[in-house]
Amino acid sequence: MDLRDVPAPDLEDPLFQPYWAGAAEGKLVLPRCSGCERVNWPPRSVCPHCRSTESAWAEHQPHGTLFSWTVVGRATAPGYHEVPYAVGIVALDDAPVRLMGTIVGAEPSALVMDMPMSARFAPAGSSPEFTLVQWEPTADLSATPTNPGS
Amino acid sequence: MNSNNAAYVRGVGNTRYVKKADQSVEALAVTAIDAAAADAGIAVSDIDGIIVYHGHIGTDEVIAQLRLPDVKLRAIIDIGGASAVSALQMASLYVLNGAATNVLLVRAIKGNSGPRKAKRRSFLPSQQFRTQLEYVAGCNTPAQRYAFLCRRYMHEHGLTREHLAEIALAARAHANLNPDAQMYERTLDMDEYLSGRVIADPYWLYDCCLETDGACAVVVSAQPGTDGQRPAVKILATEEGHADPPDDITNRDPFLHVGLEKAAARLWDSISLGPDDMDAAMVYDCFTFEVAHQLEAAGFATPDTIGRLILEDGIRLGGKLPVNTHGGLLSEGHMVGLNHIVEATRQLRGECGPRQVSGARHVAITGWGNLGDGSITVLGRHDGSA
Ligand SMILES: [Zn+2]
Repeated sequence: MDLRDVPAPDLEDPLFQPYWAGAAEGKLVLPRCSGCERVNWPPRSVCPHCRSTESAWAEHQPHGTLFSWTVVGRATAPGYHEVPYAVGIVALDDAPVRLMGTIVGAEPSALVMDMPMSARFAPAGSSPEFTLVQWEPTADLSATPTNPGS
Repeated sequence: MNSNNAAYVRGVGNTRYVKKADQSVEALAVTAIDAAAADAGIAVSDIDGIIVYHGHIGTDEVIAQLRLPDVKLRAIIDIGGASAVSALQMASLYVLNGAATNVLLVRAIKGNSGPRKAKRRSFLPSQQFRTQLEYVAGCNTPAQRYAFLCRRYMHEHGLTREHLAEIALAARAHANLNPDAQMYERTLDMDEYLSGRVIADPYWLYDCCLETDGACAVVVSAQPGTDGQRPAVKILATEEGHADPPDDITNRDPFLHVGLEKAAARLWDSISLGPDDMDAAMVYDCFTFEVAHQLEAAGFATPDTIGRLILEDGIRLGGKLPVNTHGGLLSEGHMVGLNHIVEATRQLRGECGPRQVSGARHVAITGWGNLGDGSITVLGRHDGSA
């Protein structure tokens, strides 16, 4: 998948900056509310549960399960010229949040509900470059590499 | 809201719905508004309130084109496809409170021959979630976002391709009875449905609504304006509701919960009627699955019975619950749901000819928009002097 034309989001947006900085290092980093300890995703500047405005960003295991997905047959998204491709929602294993991401490493027809998925950190964009968190079926649980980015 | 002192849908009007209109958006709007005013038995200059929607003709353009002498209030309701039904509530409040006398709801667009949808500005809430999380993943259309809901629902509740197909085929069969429909002369069978190219699987071509050139208009008033010559159409109750949270689909819990569930629960609580009393339903059908989802959320079925309602009890004319007898957004035209209100009104007056639901006295209309906002209303036929 050629990701060079995918427009970068605002990488300096304080709500998301640690997420993108983490992705650039091959890490899945999410905010945990300093007031109530919840992992809030998508991130919000004020915690809807406790009104805290403080978050601590922490690394998460880049593993989850495929909660739902679509196979895009008509290209509409900037930078995504080639179809078909799949976009999914992955339920993270170690926090009660779901993340949207492109699904790679499998034919769309091979995807199965709730199958184990692992993150892959892919270079994207051109000016500026950034790192996208994509998801692929976990090859074999016993053979899960310690560094999925490799 | 529900009030014994209810407002009325006093007049409705529309252009024919086509793929490419020769007229301008303004000319289409004027045609529909003139028709609605004539139908309401008022002069166009008596319109003193206007409610519109993003991307369609705006309030100031309407005032200028029609030289409306004294519009007292104007509004835009911005909950996507839930806006039209929601506007019935706002219009009712205006006319019952006396803030305005005749409130116009209008949609006019060159949705097919004008700027392409993907190029239009997004009016969704929390734009940073769209740009930071969705666009970068290759997801930027309603079809793609709602496909997530559709696939999960199919997995959890056993809905199948056959159910989606029947929603598309029923809509088309109804449009084939509606001379104003964009697809009036175009039949659709199962083979053709199944040959539709993938748009955002599970949504294929014929699971997706049309893009349309055209206009329609509705006049809401505290007076039925019928002089006893024809049945009045009363707005018995209208409610809107919002999902938790309304600005993100991915982390909702439960995932398939939408605003319509809350709105419908309040609606049925507020009137002495239930889903079984409805003679037809006009359901916001941006995509096939949303019809199933909303029929369940609105109380017409449960996750266990929705499949049976669609395939066995029937959603076509003659079935247990005729749905979208005009053809809906899937086959009549995409007027963001205002055309659903036009159709419900005509059904209650008995004006629908070959697609008439005989003896229709109560029709429910739903709206669905943005990322799961919902709205619902019940219109009732009221004979004799109001
Ligand atoms: Zn908190």
